[in-house]
Amino acid sequence: MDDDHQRHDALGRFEGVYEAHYRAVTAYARRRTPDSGDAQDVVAETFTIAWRRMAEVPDGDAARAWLYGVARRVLANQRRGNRRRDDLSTRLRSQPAGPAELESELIASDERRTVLTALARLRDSDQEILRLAVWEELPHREIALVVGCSESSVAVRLHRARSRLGREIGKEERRVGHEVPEGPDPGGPGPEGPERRAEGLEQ
Amino acid sequence: MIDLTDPLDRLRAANPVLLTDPALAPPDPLLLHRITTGAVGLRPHPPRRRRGRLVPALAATSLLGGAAAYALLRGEVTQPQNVACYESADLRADTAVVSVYEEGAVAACAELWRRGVIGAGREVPPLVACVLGSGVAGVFPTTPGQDVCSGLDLPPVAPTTVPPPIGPGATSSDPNARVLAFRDAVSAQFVDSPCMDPADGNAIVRRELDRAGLTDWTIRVGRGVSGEGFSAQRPCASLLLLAEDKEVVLVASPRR
Repeated sequence: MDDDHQRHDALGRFEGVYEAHYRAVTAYARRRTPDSGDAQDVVAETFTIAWRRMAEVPDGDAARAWLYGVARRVLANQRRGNRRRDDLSTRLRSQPAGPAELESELIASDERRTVLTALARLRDSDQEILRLAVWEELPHREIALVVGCSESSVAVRLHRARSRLGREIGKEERRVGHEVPEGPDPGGPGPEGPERRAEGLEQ
Repeated sequence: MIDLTDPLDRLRAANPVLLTDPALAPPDPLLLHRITTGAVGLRPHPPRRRRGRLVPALAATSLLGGAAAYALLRGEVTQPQNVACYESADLRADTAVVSVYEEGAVAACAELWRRGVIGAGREVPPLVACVLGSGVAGVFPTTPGQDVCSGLDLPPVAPTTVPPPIGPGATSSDPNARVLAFRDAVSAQFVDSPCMDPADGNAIVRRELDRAGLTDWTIRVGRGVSGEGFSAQRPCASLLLLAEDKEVVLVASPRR
């Protein structure tokens, strides 16, 4: 195959990936950053990396997981940069910027506020695995591709994260004076067994 | 109904952005064009785009995308199709990437200043063009006596790199200027047509190539970038400019 055909093939593949997953990557970015401009930058950077590394982009649904993995790293870099910039801005202007701005844009109801506040209290890795499973609706196999772990580890980590989220939601509801819903303990043991055992597996 | 005992159910209901959200824009053809022509990645630092800032497009040049990058003989601006307009003489400043037409890179950015896309309505300052590391011209505001390009450690754009306006039928000794003139002439006609017939497109391209003095260029009716040929689903001709190969490809595209 000559260079021209290779170039056309790469363009064709890239256009297909771009059209198939643009909205999903945009949604992924917007779920994780309150600034639509920042989200656009994440999308642009993610697809630019995909174009440069087209040979590494897998076919089918795995491409979406691959793109999420790239977007995740781009977001992390962006946050590091924003933190440095915000630190500087804070020193210069003495006007601290906090999560309240994020919340004001993302939270539309008390219920949503409660859940998202609880989510934000979890460690980053727990937040991400929950979002990937629930918001991006990825199967465990694809979550494993995004976060770089085994499929069985995803199940354990997701169970733990779910438990922690349940506990944090309960705390948040108590904090704002809501009634804790009756029913099984959302942070209780799941099918994989007691959480302590799950945590012990990874230690 | 949300099961309040299931944290995952509650998290699902709290999803701030649904894929069905109409605010989620469809794939942006300009971004696709910018990526495949290398016009993104200009900013060496994390972007500092202001909220709501849009990257403007002066015209629908995504028709002429693909591998259109070509090296200028003088080895400076290697991507004359695009220009990065900076809001201040700082590589970390807000940037708008637009297409360059025969008016040139500086004029393209001046138009953005006039429209308030850059500079938030301030008067158009004196502008100067430098060559970015990516091979794209970067246009910065300057002041009398200020050497912006040197200050940014960038070479200035040579006067001949950004070609002077070329009228219809005129030819320039600068091959890059002739390519730009051809591109502008042919893209205007393709953009004006809601669905360019491949045979008509072929005739237009041949005529404009001849007018621009690019008589050694060839036209090929190729597969679409999705690998498909012309069909009922893809009846319209778009253009792919392969300047390195001196070739124009008529690409099968769906109706717009």
